[in-house]
Amino acid sequence: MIVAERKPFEEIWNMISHYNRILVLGCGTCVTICWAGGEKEVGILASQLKIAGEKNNELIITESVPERQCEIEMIQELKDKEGNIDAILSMGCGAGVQTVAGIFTDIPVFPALNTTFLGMPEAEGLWVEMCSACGDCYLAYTGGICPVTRCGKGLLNGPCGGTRKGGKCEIDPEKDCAWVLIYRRLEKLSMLDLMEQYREPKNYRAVKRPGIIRATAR
Amino acid sequence: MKKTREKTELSELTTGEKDNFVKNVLVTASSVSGMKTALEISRLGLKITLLEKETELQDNHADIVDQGTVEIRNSLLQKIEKDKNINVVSPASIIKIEGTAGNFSVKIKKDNDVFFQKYGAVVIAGQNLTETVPVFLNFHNTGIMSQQKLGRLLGDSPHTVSPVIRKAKTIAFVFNDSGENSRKLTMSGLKYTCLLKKNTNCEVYVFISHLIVDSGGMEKLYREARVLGVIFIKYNENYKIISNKNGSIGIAAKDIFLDADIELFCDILVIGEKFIPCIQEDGLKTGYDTEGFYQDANVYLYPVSSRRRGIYFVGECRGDQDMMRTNVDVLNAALNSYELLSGFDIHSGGNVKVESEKCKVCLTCIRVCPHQAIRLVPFSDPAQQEAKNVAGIFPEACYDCGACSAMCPAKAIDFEFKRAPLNEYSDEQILKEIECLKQDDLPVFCCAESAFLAAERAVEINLYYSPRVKIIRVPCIGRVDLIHLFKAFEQKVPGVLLAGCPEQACTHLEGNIRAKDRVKYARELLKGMGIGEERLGIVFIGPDMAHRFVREISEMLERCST
Ligand code: SF4
Ligand code: SF4
Ligand code: SF4
Ligand code: SF4
Repeated sequence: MIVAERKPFEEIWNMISHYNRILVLGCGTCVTICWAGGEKEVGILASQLKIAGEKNNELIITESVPERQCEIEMIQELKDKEGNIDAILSMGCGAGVQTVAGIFTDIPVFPALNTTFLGMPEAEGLWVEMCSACGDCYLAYTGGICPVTRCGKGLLNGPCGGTRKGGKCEIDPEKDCAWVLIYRRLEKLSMLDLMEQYREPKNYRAVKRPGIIRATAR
Repeated sequence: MKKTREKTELSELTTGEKDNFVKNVLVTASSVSGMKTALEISRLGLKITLLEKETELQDNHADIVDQGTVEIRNSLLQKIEKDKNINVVSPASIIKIEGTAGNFSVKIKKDNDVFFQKYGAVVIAGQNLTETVPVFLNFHNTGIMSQQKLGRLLGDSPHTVSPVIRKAKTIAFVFNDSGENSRKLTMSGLKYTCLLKKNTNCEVYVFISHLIVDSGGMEKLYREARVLGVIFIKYNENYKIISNKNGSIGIAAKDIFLDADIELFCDILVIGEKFIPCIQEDGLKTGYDTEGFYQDANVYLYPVSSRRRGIYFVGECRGDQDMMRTNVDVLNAALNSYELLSGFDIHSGGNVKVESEKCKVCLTCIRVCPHQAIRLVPFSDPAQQEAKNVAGIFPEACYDCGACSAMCPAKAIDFEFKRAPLNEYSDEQILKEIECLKQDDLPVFCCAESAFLAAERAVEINLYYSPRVKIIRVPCIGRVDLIHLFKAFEQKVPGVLLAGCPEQACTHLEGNIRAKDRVKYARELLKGMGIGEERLGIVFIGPDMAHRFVREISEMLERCST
């Protein structure tokens, strides 16, 4: 899923402080799950804005959390319902912010989050990056562990030779060396021959920016 | 009084709970403590399955525990064979325990089979989860040995003493290497010193840092040892093992009474072994103490409860326990399981509900619940066509701490009271109380089990505190949501204070720690808004600390009013 993080309040306040009627818009999917933009976080940010703007008598903060911010229909429905607003503070990921901006064309839409990566929760409150959405998935050759994302150098023919004691990464001793993990996993699967195969340089432009997928009817 | 009344009222709600409880108890393993527990539960009329990891019932600790153990064990074995309520399964072990009190689904491995079996309660007993190792295994042939080895070389009469011991002129003991007092090692150590004095001619010295002789018969043994001429040396904190040119081993320490460093060379140095937990794969999710033994270090769980209602710990798996304490455990575990399965256990939980439509299945609450009371269950809305799983709270395991409610990112969990006393814990009610705050008020969120009682006590003993202090009772400070803190600041209050249980004495295990983290995060957010961190406080107060409570709130008032 998409993992995001809230921006510091100063930054948000600088974007939005000269507007009066502000809609704080959350998203009920990925960013709810990663504790960044769900109903709870929307409530907290709204409350922060109210406290910071207590001198502004005209300040009106409204809150809303559609199921998914990146759906045109859902945002259109929201637009039809919403009354007068001067600006929207979006707590969705970058895709959400842009979807909203595409529909609320007359008012500015600001991001309250930094969209950080695609990852998964390793424990309560701990998310780790798993995939860089490179568009040409390698996992079949690497025991289901992504070297593009989890190797500090993104090596396709690893390890780099600098792996530290205990299987830690040369760049960051806190992190596991992805290639040690890959080796161990392949060893367990008796697929170590994959380690010996040479991987051609990767086509990092498998998906041209911006990526578009047009699926046929199924 | 008040609490008792509330509980009695609540009991009306929980009766009937027992009707769908499975009336079987699983006991593992068949150590002395396990066998005793099984017999005790059988006496109360419940059926028991006794799991044993080895092929037959045994107890590997006989060397260290009282000599009587062998006989005790044999008589227990006979009783168990005759008991119709007890069914022994071996060799088998638990892989994991799913479900909640009254309806545990236990995954058991027997031979090469893995199967699930239903039990109402589970007692984890005895030493298959503990093992003893000599601390100085690598000091072979140096004259250092463990108590177990000494015991074997010594036997129990003058004729059985091995020549190795007979040759020795001086023998020194350190009962417990790890510094913590071990009653078991002290007991057996004292016994060996007496035996040495009686059956050999050697000098016996004992180095102790703190000697506790509060278990059955220990005091008597200690006196006997003194009378027989064993010399006790009380040392300060650390001792060192030394050796001299002739290769003799010795011990150096600081004698507290002489206030001097002393050195003693001896022929044999006996050092108490260390008890280490042996928890392999753990599917229990019940937490450990700092040394890795079962049971979190939390006073509310003593003696035998675990963080999951219906799972109990007995004997050595709780650490280094002597027989006397184990016996207390046995009775407690038996009684607890009996009360649970026959409906006498008044349980006042389960007033927290998930609003299924709002649940985003983020699993946060499942990870957060200290009592493992939340699982995924099929969506309860009949209008919903597709089968979807959402979080569901099992009332029989829930203790109404509200941690899940405060953490849910979708605000899908709230208190939904069956009855008045818990009304005040719902979001709606807490927010209402916050709305009533005036500009100069200091809201203090008080844990109902600790700080709130301290506040009540303060009133009782006429301790004055400012009327500006507004107490908001919560079941645990882990229930206080960030939004509650910010809503309070919206009321322009000078500060907000959270008051909960002291560390390792949190009624809900980690509610206070969670609250501490939350305060840390909230302070960061407040800093960004130009609100100083001194305006959000957190204190940890026991239920009897009325003076401390008043002092803390006065200090807080002073700090944030300037
Ligand atoms: S806007 Fe879409 S992609 Fe972004 S967090 Fe919400 S659901 Fe996920
Ligand atoms: S190779 Fe790695 S980054 Fe590329 S798609 Fe696969 S998991 Fe994602
Ligand atoms: S924390 Fe809330 S949203 Fe997440 S699983 Fe639990 S009830 Fe559902
Ligand atoms: S209130 Fe506490 S015990 Fe009950 S389900 Fe929630 S977290 Fe678990």
